[in-house]
Amino acid sequence: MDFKIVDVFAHYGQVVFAVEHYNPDGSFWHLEHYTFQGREFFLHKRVTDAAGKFLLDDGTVAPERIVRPGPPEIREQYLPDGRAWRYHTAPQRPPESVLNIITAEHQKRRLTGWQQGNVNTLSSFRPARADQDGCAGLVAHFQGLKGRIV
Amino acid sequence: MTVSTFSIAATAGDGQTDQAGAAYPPTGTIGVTTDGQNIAANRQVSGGNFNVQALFFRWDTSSIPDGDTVKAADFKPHVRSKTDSDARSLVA
Repeated sequence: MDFKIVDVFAHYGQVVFAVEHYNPDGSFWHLEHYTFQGREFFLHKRVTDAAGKFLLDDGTVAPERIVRPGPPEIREQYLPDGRAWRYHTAPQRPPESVLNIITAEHQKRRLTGWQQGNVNTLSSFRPARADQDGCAGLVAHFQGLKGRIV
Repeated sequence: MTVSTFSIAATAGDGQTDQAGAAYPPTGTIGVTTDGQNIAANRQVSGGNFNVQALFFRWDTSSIPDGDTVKAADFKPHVRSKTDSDARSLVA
């Protein structure tokens, strides 16, 4: 295994993933903290149809307009007056995204080396109000990653 | 050390610039769009006019404590689609 997420917790408005990185022989390498802003709990992707077109709040496909004549012609969907976009209910960052970030960092350190040793520190962040408000919900969203081994 | 991820601020600080002209690089007036539902990086010649669109983004990193040192930064955009007329091997 490359790493294990040993804990997921809130810390000064940040969601923190405490991650143990391991050497190829399976021995412990070092521990690292990966943080995400609590405000991400309020960021939601717009819903699209099978063709990737954005939907309005009533479930219809949003209309398009030409923003630059071609070739190549550039079009974009727009929001008609009085309408809103339809959003997914879950935060937009999927758990796989967290794993991808940790995996990329692990591979980078494997290639470049890691001279810092096991520096187990975590700063006291200065959270904005949105981070504090969203942090608990985002921790719950990611709680399923605790204990995950990659 | 800590690895922190910041999403873009998604405010008027994010958007695109446009500049067009008969020669390349264009030297015309720079237009700024910050309220578009979609933004696009673009470089094209159309009707004898060269057009360049660049994107700009802003992050709120104010939560980083004073005295901390940023050793490296990566930018990872998610591109929804691409149009490529000259086989530039662009990837979305």
